[in-house]
Amino acid sequence: MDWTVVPFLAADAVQSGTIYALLALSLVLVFAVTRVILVPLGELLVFAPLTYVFFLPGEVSGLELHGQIPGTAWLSAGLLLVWAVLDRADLRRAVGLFLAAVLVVGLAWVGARGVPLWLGWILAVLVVLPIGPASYRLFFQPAKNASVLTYLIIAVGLHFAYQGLGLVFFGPEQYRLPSILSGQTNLGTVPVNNQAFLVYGFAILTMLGLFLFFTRSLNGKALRACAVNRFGARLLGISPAQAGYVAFGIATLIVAVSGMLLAPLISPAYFQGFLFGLKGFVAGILGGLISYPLAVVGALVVGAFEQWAGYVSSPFKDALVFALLLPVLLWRSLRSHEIGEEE
Amino acid sequence: MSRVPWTPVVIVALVLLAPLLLSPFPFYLTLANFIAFGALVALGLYLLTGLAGMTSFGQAAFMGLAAYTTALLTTKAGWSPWLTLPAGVLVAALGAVVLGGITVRLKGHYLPLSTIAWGMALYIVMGSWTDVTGGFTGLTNLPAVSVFGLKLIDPKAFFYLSAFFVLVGAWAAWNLTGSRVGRALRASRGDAVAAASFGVNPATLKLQVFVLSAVYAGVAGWLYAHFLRFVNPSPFSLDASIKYLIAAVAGGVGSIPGVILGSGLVVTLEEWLKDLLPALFGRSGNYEIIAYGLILVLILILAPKGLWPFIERYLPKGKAKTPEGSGLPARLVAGEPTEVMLEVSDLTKRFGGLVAVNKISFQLRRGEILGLIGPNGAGKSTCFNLITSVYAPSEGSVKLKGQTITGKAPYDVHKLGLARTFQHPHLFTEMTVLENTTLGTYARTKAGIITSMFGLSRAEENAANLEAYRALERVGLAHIAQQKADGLAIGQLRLLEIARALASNPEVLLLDEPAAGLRAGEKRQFAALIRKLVAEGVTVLLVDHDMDLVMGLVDRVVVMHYGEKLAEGTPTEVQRNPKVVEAYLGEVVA
Amino acid sequence: MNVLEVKNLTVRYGAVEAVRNLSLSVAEGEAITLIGPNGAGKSSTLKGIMGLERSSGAVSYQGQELKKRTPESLAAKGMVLVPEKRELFASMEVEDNLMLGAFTRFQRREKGLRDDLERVYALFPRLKERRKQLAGTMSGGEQQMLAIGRALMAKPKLLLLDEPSLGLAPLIVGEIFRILAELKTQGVTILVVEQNARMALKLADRGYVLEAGELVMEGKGSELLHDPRVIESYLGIRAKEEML
Repeated sequence: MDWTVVPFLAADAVQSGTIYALLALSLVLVFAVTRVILVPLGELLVFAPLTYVFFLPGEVSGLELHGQIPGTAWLSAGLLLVWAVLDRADLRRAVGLFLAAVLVVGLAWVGARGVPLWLGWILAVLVVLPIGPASYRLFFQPAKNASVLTYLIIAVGLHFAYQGLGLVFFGPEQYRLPSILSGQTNLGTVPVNNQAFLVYGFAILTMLGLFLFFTRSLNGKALRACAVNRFGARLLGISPAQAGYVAFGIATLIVAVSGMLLAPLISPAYFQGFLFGLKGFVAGILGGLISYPLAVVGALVVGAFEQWAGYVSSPFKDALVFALLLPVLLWRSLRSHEIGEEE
Repeated sequence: MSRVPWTPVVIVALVLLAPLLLSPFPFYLTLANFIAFGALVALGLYLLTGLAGMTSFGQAAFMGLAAYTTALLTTKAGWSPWLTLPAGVLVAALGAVVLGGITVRLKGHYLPLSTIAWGMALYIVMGSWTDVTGGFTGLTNLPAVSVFGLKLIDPKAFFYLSAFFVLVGAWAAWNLTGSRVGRALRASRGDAVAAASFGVNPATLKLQVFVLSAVYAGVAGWLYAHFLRFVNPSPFSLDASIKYLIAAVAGGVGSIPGVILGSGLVVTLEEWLKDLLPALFGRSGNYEIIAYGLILVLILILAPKGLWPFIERYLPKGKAKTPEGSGLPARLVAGEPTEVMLEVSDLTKRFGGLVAVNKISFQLRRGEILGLIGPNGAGKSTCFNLITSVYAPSEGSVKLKGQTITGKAPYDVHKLGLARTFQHPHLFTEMTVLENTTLGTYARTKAGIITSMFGLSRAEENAANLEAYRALERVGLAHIAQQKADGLAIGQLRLLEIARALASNPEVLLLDEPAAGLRAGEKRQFAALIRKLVAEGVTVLLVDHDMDLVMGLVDRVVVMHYGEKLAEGTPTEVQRNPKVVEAYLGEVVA
Repeated sequence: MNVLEVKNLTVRYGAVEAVRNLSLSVAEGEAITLIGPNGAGKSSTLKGIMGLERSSGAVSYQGQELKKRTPESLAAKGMVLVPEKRELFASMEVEDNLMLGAFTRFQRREKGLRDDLERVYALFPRLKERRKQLAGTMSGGEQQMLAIGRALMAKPKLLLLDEPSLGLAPLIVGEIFRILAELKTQGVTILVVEQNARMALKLADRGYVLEAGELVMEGKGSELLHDPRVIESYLGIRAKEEML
């Protein structure tokens, strides 16, 4: 091995590892609170920057979109409308949801008419954000008390639907997006994109934020309580459904912002989300889908392993990363003794 | 059997006729072949999901393994396709052994998650290992399969081959469902603890079924490769795997006709969508996955059992027969009446800092009814679970007829002649009363997965059913043997639990709160039944808090309180013991 | 006015009728106990009231009939259950467990949660000593205290307890009941389901005796305490004579 490449590989490993860490954290959060293994997280990651493309001035995106409203806005609004219909018994909530749906389309319309870059950036996140909690309401809540397995199959179905919709909304192309910070900084011999520092900053902020939320805020503690003992939480008036919306909301926010920050570095396309998501899973499974710190460690391991695999055998890079699951699961299996009871 | 089995005859006739009817439409003949391939994969999923309660998102990858194996061996090494069929299937099975071996012991979602990663990884390898697999252009010029010198080239001829495999696969799956192994699979899907307490090792069985489902997929992959005589990665992608899962779930993953129906629907729908959607969206692309995703989600939410149950309603139901003939060889029951059957010494169980059971010791002698009683929370259930090896004790030991059983798995303990009932009846509501009872014979019978699939275990199966039927007669439930177990009253459920235990021909019968929920009259009948069983040579340990039942029935009582043994003696002695009165009514604390 | 009024409650588990046509009432400030031997349907009654099991019959709370009952909606209305298995948040600190008891009040932006925490600590000094300890690492008695303390943090208008003495040593049971008695003097309305008849009847103003899913006796706590029929029903003395 040529050791001079190691620092370069390490820099890339940290960059992708950070993204996997953000995905893994969101995954663990959603799983802990709702027992849903949220396969479509990767789609939510690319939806935000792809939506942003529609809010960019033509001279930046290089596209002629003629003020077209992005499909994700219609999806987001549509899900909210169905949610409003489902919850029509609670009139105030239904009206709120209806207004939110109108607002989403309104924001997208404003964005598509041409807004400053920063505002478009925020609008893109806001437009995509409701998709997460609304998906929980529409697709997971009705299968209440289903097994983890049923939830998983539903999640896989949803991944397919959203990936296909991504193709409908954005086509197969990759898009170039403007960086917030341009240029590079040399760390020793290794040039690092300044944009990457934003990703790291966001990751650190997210971890710190989640940590404070879970240890300082009673709302955060209620979420943890739901994960630790659902029934106990219900007895205290903590509704698991509400906890589910919050968990899906936070997870969607984390991955949407991650996607926005990452986009200038990868030139996103609709199909890229899944690979990111899947590697986030590998990281999450390293932590047993329950431990946040282990998930972050797992993510960095996956990032490093991926760079090494890419160096050794570029075409099989991803195959090797997925193969990494096998020894991990074997290790977990050897440590488990109980008769395979569900949950 | 004297009656002509009409259903199979009709099915085979339809299959033989179908290509003739379709021959003016070659496109539909090709489609019929694809439906058959899908049906084979879906049959594997029926076994995996419908019977065993597991799921895989990687079945197309197993197809791919077999397809590439046959492609390489026929084109590069010149093997005959008939030799590469076992070779390809073997490779697929090996893949499943590795993947399943490391995940079946983990919680249910690890297997499907790892099949996603596995499917992705294999797809990348198929597409990138250009030297061997030809990359995305694939491998061409596979030889045609020939049968008795006849080359199966056109879709009509090939359909007979495809259909043959589907029919054999369906027949084998059907045999397996009703067999000893199928019963055990359905049982461990519903309740691994209950299945294990009747001798089933769920992990081994799950692994076997996972491998079997890969074998079905492997056969489909082999057929696929030799039908198109060309392989490339895309039919073996994750998308394709999900498509098969959707087929199985949509048709009804819990039934054989359901999954075949599902394959028909999905393959046809795919063709239709492939034309329709690009026209709708104005450009070409893989749009049908939207529909797949939504179908999967909506079916799971709205009709989790798929479409078949809606059709099945209108079909005539077969009538089950009462088993006849001779039963299974019984265990030799021998020994002195004073022989110690079960010896519990210094049994201790700590959960974290809590001592649930503290140094409990007692003996159970042959032919005796011993009651283990105590107020709620006294540690009786924990004690019971320690004796049946559901929990491992922190200290102490349990001996069954002098043999130490602590540390053994519940399914091994059961084989030594110990059977139990459950406090909350652990019965399988989708099975008949007789099937539930026959599960009790699991440890007394031997048929494995292959003998069962090819119907070679009929004699043993009959004997087991008869044995179960006799057990039902002993408890007085024979008249409802063919009824589903979900509509039963609590008294019947309790009796069924006992019948199932009896079917295992136990020497020691452990009853966990068997009278809970029974009315006074039912309790009396129940006590009479237990006395009858004891007279027939069964030794009974009864764990209960119900003084009504215990005091009128047992020979001796062990009273537990705060995890410790408070008293031991005859019922009258114990009832007069002031400490026992305190324990039950609550102490007066100054 | 009755805080809780239960009329003709029937609770079924599949084929089992665990509770048949049970009616009871709890007036404001009262301590009521529901006793009976194990398996009599005491816990099922609570589950039926809390909407945790399917049931028929009417349950009214503060004069209003509640048709759709879920534990979370009842908790928000001030009806809090201390369950048999305590259902603590085992991997969280004692103080977090307590504060989560006040979650619905926190959501309504009520003031004075900290003061209430101190009040609970005054009631259970042992919890204050262990405020930073993880709930799952405490002894059974401490866990029961925490479960009760957590429920008190909700300022319940009706406190329901399911077998608070379960699995606890006599001394701890005594302590738990002393605290319940103190709560009673503070005006908390209590419905306690107990197998430990003597302790429960000493505490209660009125008691109901449940046998095989049906109410067989009701009366003042002090009267039931000395009624020989209670002992018989517990020890199965009559039943034995019938069976032989």
